[in-house]
Amino acid sequence: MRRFWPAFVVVLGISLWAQLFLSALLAEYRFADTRMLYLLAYVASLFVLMGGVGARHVVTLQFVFVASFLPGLLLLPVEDQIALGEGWGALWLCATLAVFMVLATSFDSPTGEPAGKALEARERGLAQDVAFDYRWYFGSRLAVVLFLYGVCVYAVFFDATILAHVAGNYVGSEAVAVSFLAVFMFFVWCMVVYLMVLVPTMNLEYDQRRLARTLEAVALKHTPSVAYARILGWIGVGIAVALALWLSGG
Amino acid sequence: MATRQDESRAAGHQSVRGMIYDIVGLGFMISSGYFFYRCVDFLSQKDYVAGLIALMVGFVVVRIGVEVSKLGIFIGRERS
Repeated sequence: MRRFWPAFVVVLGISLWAQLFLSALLAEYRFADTRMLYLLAYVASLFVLMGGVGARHVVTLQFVFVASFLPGLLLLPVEDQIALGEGWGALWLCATLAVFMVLATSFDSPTGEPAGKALEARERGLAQDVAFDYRWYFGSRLAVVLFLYGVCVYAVFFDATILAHVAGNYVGSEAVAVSFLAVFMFFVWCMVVYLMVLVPTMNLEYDQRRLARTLEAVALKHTPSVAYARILGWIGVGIAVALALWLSGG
Repeated sequence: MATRQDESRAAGHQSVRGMIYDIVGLGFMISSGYFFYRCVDFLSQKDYVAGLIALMVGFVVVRIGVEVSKLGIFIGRERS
């Protein structure tokens, strides 16, 4: 099943692209004078997708591919922008993006060795300890990232101040602006969950050993007094920056 | 006997320190929500540069929270 995942990623990526740009691309071909810049902006994402799948590079798929939609979205005709926000379009788009993000992460584990085997190799007590740490760690972090998702949804759809700003600044296209904000914040949230939360917490044991090695190296190089002086120096820099911002009225 | 008590006390201190780090890390992660909220606010006002900066600050705050929490886990494990 796992070997078909690249195909799934390609299909989902093309589906995502088609939902955004296919109708605009077909409309562009119907013009007598086809605009090359628009065509390039619409199809650039497909090249990024193929490159990312070919190289099995997660960052390309999850970040560069999605970011490559931006030029096309900027050039997208207004009627297509409105169509994206109508009915179930935005929801379907978000769902496709979410499934794409999840499937694209599969490229990050080329070994294919089940994680359970590594645990079985450990001593029983350590394994239980690790399991407890992981359960607590991932459980609490999951709650926080869900809270962050709630913040984004509240800000985009329910906050009266922001909705008033949208109505004032995007006259005539409030629904499109809200849809774009929703898709953008969903993308941002996916990035936060994957790059800022999931990846840094995937290998606690290795990070613990690396930290211990770093501390040993630092201890060999510097005496505790130098370390304390350095910490105090950074605290001083922080206070100075905060004071400067406060005095400048920032 | 005294040594065992000392060890137990030290382990307790480590555990409390780890818990404090973990709570501080979670606090960082939760407070990053403010920056994401501000990001949406700035974008709704067509202030795209400020929105991007708020977004970057939010990213950094989440990352700091994760790293501080990891430190808490490591300190807690040192007891064993």
